[in-house]
Amino acid sequence: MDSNQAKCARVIERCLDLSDSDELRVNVSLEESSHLRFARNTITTSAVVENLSVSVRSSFGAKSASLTSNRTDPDSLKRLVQRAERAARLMPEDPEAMGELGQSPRKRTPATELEKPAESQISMARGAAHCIRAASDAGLLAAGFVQVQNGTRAMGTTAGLSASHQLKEAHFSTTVRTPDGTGSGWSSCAAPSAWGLDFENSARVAIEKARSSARPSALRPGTLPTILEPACVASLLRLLLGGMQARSFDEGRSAFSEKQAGARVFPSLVNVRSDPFDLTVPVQHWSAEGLPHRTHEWIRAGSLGEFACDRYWAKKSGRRPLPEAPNAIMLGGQKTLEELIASTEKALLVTNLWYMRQVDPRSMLYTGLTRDGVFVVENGEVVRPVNNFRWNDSPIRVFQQIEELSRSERVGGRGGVSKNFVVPAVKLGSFRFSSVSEAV
Amino acid sequence: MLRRDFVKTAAGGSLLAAAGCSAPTRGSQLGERPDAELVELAEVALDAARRAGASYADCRIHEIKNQSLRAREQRISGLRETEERGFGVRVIVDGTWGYAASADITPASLARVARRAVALAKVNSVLQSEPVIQAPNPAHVAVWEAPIIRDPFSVPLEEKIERLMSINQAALKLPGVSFCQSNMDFVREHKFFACSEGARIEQRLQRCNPSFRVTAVDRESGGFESRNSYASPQGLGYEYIEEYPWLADVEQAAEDVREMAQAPRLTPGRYDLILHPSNLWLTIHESIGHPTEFDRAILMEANYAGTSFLTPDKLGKEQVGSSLVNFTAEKTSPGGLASCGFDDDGVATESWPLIKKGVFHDYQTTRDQAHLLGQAASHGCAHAQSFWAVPFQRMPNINLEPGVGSFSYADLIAGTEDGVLIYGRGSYSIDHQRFNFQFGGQTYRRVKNGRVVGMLRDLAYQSRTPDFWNACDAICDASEYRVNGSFYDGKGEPGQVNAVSHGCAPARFRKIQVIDTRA
Repeated sequence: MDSNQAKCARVIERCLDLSDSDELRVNVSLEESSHLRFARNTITTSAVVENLSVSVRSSFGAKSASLTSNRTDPDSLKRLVQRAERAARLMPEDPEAMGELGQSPRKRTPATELEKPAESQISMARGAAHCIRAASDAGLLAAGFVQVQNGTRAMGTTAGLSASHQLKEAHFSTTVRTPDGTGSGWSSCAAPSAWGLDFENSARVAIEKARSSARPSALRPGTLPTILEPACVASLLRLLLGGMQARSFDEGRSAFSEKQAGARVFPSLVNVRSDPFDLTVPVQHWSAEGLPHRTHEWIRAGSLGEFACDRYWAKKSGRRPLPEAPNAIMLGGQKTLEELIASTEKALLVTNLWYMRQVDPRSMLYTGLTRDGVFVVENGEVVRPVNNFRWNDSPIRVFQQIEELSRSERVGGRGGVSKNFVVPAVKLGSFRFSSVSEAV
Repeated sequence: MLRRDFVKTAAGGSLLAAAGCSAPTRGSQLGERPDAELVELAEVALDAARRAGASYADCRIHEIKNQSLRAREQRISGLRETEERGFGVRVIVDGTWGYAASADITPASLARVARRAVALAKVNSVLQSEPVIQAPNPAHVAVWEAPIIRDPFSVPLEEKIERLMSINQAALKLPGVSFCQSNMDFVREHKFFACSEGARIEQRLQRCNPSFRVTAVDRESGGFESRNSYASPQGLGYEYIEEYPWLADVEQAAEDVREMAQAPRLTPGRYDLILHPSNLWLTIHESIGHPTEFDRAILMEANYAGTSFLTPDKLGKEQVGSSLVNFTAEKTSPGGLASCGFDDDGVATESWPLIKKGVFHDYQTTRDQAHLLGQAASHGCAHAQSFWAVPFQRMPNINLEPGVGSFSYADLIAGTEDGVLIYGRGSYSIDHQRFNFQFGGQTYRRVKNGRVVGMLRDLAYQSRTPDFWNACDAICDASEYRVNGSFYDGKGEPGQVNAVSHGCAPARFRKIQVIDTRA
């Protein structure tokens, strides 16, 4: 147990000792995060933040309340537990209350040494400097963001559950633009530490995209054959998995129909699983209420697997409790993205999707934009950049259009969304572009 | 059919009218000195930063309390309270910002963290090619408190529970309603700002966000319809919840979801749109609020939120909207979600025009941006979500000025031959330079020959920002002005949220593209 884990364990133990509740659940998050942000080829902000927060959920029978604080001195912890208990006593009984879990999730491999903050900051500065210099040398403008998060997440319950997860993540993304504002490229990478981030490759890809997307020609919208790069696929897959909820399905409020449950809805080459112990996308291996994440096939050979289901609904409906996906690994093909393009007669190639919002929950219809480069592919070659588009489509329909996959890779979405996804690029029979966006 | 426009009597309107929103006034300045203990603590940080080599330093001690109460159908599904307290030290060293923060508010920690911020700025100064220059600003010493009537954190939990359950129970009794969920969220902030230039500012802010959602499920067809409440987040206390006509809204929502299930779809095409403030506010936010953020215009948000089509060369020239269209930015209106006495640079808040008679006039700015526009002072738009967040430029309240002369909502409808009337916030999406957008609503009604004739369903409107605002040919008068807003406007890396209000009266937009979302 490292010093962070020991610190979290002490906080949990103290809260459990102070408790008069029938049941108490304690979650602790200890984190030190550093970031560096740049734009216009210069640094804009940088920060280092230390924080330790504790959340307690007190229950008296079927009454409960949760309080969170980042004041963790002994007196403050005592007040926190007492306030949570007072609030819980005031609450009405919850007919859906489930007791606290007592079984601890399976232990992970021992914690590894964390990169020291000063080392992180030097690595981040060096990486940003490389990106800025490369863009500047190319006559382009770089913006980017690198963040390192180190710490511990821990949980304990009066029922005996004990769990701990070492947080060790670093992410980098960069957007490079042409000075005339007609071209923009983006790339991202992730690693356990700043030292492991591939700044050079990310900068190279973003610069190439910026150059190749410049001075786009006009193209009318339509329903068109399309290749979506992995960042797009991760965004859509996140929405698709979010719609796989057992309770909404049973209550008649799901985009999936009754006849689709367990049936083959997608092409057989679509396989998506979660694996909390996959080292490519390490995640906390238990849910907020202490349910262990397990390896689960959400989509197997195109057929829908079990949907996410909380403990109450599992008991009521006879399903297995299943937390939402902590990460997602989609099985890819053998080809690289370049080989996928080379085998394509005609399609649009989309780098990224942006500002996706639900339009109709009944069909899981979403609207959004393309971003960071849209290109025409003809006879196996990228022949020209075109304008961005607004699209209106459903992730269900999109995944039903999948004809071919590239090899899978880990991606990081903008703003860290979908950062725990490993997905391929996909070739689609069609994607619905509904209007032109002149944004670059 | 809409039985009555109950939102005319919505609390937001009446309370703000009572508070004199037609002539925005400042929140209370109590005339007291800031808390001496906070001053002493902050000065430890400022002193340590100066000794370590900072040419400028500020220290923000920030406490935020959140309460969230959720109910669905006949049960309370959750009570969560969060309190977060800490401090952040921001410094300039060699023209470069550095920031460090901690939850440990002790003199030793303040000094250590301040030195850490300086060390960070020094390491990163090698990357600096545009040294930070701050606009001059008076060193205010002040205490400011948001003018609320009833503190939500003093309201007994039983009273809040009873309110949510009464909403749900009323909904579930109505024909066709299958589900109802209702929520209340409250935020209280206490922050202290001190800087090396002498500012010492203490502020207390409050906001609330109540809502419900009614859903009707049709098992036979496999379809379902939902309608959210027309209540809106406000920078007000519990009085907003007490005065809002919840039961009238629930009854209307139940009627709406029944009507929606049977309503016809509209043939796609160009129609005149009448947008109620409960819908128009979000279009204002996305298409005017964000592109007038100066940091976006100069590419500082390029890696995440995007840039802006309103580039600096368009100041004073670009015809963003028709001559009826005037937008004002402010952080001063009582009850405004972004309202406060001073921003997180210590600048006294103000009101200023962004768009005048449709022409792009000015941006939202912070102290370190003003010089890039050749302006002598900041507009006071610096904001940080919490102690762990770096302050940066965030949106103030942005309002569409009401029409001049007497022109009511009834007049607007009566003067429309063929259009669609849209209420409530629905889906929303806009591109990263704020051109192409698509918005939906909660309810849609056909207007023919000056009368509201029936419900529609499954539509959204698409446009391009300048085309849309230049198509505005009518805005109702001040009597129809309503304030709505967002509790969670996201921006920045790492991501931060900001709360912001948008006031407007109902307005009409000619020949806007409407699509069928089920086609």
